[in-house]
Amino acid sequence: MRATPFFACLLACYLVIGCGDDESDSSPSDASKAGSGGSAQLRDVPCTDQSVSALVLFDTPNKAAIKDELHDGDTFESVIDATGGGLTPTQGFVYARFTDDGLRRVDLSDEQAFRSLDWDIAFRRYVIRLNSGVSGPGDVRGARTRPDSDFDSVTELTDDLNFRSEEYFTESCDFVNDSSGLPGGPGTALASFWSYPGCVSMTHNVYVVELTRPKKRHVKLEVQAYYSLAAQRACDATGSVPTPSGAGTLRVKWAFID
Amino acid sequence: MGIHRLKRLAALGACLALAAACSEPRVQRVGLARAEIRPAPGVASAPPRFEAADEVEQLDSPGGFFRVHYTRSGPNAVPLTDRDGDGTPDYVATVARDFDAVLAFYAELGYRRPVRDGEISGDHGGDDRFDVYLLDFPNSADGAYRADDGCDAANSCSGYMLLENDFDGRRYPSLDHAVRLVASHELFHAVQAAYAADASGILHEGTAVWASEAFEAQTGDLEYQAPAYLKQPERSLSQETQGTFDAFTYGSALFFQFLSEREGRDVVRELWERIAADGGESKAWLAALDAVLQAHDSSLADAFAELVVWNLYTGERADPDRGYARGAALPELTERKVEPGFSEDMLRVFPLATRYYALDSRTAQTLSAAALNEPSDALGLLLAREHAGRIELVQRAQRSGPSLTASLELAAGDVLHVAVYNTNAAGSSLRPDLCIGTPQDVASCRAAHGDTTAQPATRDSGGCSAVHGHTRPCVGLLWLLIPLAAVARSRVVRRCTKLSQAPSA
Repeated sequence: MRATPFFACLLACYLVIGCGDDESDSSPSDASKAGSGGSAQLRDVPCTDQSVSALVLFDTPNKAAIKDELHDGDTFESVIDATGGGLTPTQGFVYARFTDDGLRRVDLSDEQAFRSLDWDIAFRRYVIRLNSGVSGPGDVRGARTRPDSDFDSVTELTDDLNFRSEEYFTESCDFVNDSSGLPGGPGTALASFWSYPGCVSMTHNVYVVELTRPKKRHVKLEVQAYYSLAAQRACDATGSVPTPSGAGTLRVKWAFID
Repeated sequence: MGIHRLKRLAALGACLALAAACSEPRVQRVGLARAEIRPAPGVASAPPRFEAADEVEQLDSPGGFFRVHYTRSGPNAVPLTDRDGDGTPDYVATVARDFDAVLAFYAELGYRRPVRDGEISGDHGGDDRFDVYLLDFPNSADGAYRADDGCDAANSCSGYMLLENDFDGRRYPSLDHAVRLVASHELFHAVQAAYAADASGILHEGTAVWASEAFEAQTGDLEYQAPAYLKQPERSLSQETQGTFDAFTYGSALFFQFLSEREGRDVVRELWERIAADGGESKAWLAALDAVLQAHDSSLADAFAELVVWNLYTGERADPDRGYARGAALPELTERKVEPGFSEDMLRVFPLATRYYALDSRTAQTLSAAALNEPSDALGLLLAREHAGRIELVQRAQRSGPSLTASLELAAGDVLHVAVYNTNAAGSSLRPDLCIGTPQDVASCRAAHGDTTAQPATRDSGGCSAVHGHTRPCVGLLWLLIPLAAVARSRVVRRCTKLSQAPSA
């Protein structure tokens, strides 16, 4: 909010005498501001106009389901309903944060997410964003591990990890496409989790995501499927996908490594 | 790209008559040929394309402008029915005649003809005619215009057409319907290429859907596409999508339909002529449109402000005297439902975009809206009162400093519609704080947002309204808030904005 102290007092008085109400004080974005020590600490996210247009963002939260399964004591397999209303999205991203109890949804609209540090990662269709750079005010960064890495082999931070913030717009806010070959996809830090030989095929790249809140920690992460498991296997093997495909349901395997 | 499926049954009607009225030389077969075809057998052009083994035949259209390329076997085979026994599949003859009819219609509207192969250097399609290839599309598309490399110095470009070979599996009510719809859409892309070399999605797809509607309204493509625009009026008409054109891009045809109904349908041709005169760069189409509208004693900003009102007259609220002639065939605009006391910080209002809100009034009361802390004159705020399913009063807010305010009196059961819009054609979004509710709600909201200017009045005021076909002078009541205590009221005469589409009786 942009209330001056004087008028904040004025509002409080109005509330006391029952002259009005303003429920926006309890909005997630404001809660987020409070939780991060106040809005003064929030970095302004650049290119938000362009993000809203290019990514087709919305101002109501997407409360689609995230389901976790715990494997081997410390590895989660999270299934995210990232369908977003379809290939032409009608809903915003699903925002989430990594916790010791699993991947937890954070109910934010796309607009609110530009002013929130409460989320680490966001999902919609084949786009996964981190809370940094042009995507959010945080400093959550991602690095792709060596091409020969598999999920189990990543057990610690190594010197060759090149952490990236989200930079799918240039400084002049020109759109940066991913390298999938499919036009219109933003070049996010994790965009190489898929390629497009004719369907959304998994590369099985393993990433390390660096979190900063509540303290610096690292998550290893691999996206296992964009379609239903059977459809994904067909896509990965043949370059085409059967219907129905279950498109937009992301299956992500992840674990803290520190 | 092609048009997608349709829901509506259509009659051939007027355009069949038009086709019949054309001179009708006997459909001419020109024999077999396998060379010199752009999506040729064995040529690695982008799909769809002919198979290497396809025997490709040609048929010249009765008017002589088009050459239709087809095959009788394989996945690209056309339906082989030949009721008149002339040796040519009826489908192919229908395609040739329909393309002639569409071409005649666009010529009648004064448009340039598509650039034919003979008007550019090189050999394209085997002769000088405009080529139409009947091919099996592998996806949901069913037609495409593809530009050649051949453009002249004035950015007028040649190209060719791909049309689905049999429309098998497409949900058109009939093959004739499909051909006429896709032909009228895709051929308009060829017409566009005679004016400009580049492609702006909203301009190209929007005017192509509009042209198809103008050719034969019964095909219903405008009604099929426009809901995508009415569902997302907060998206900008001046910002292109990344990647492939989406439904909104096609749905923007409603904007051109609005212009056509407001200014006369020549306005779309005048726009293309202006683009060509400016060098054939269609990316700058909004500046060209503004110039065209200035010549009509209007402007792009004025037109958009009026579009904001027309879009309220859709679905069950349709009123041909105040909005779209066929507004009843459109769905109602998508609005955000709110309650009194609603506020939103730093709303994002893109150029040539509108955010709509609706509030059900459960009692007789005055309701207000204010858009705060945005000094741009391009920001507009409009209130409309819906009574018994009809929009009966439209009122635009007046500016006081960085804020816009208006109020309306509503009866129990009325609906208040609020529109916040941006008449800029480019630039960043405008970011007002928005308050909607009772005058007390809005006063609190304004105070919370640091606004000390005018407060909403308790009667229809704060803007300019129009009722039953006439704009009227407006006298606004300006309330000044003195914190928590006396509210001083002053009456000021405000300059009215023009409500160019005034409601009528």
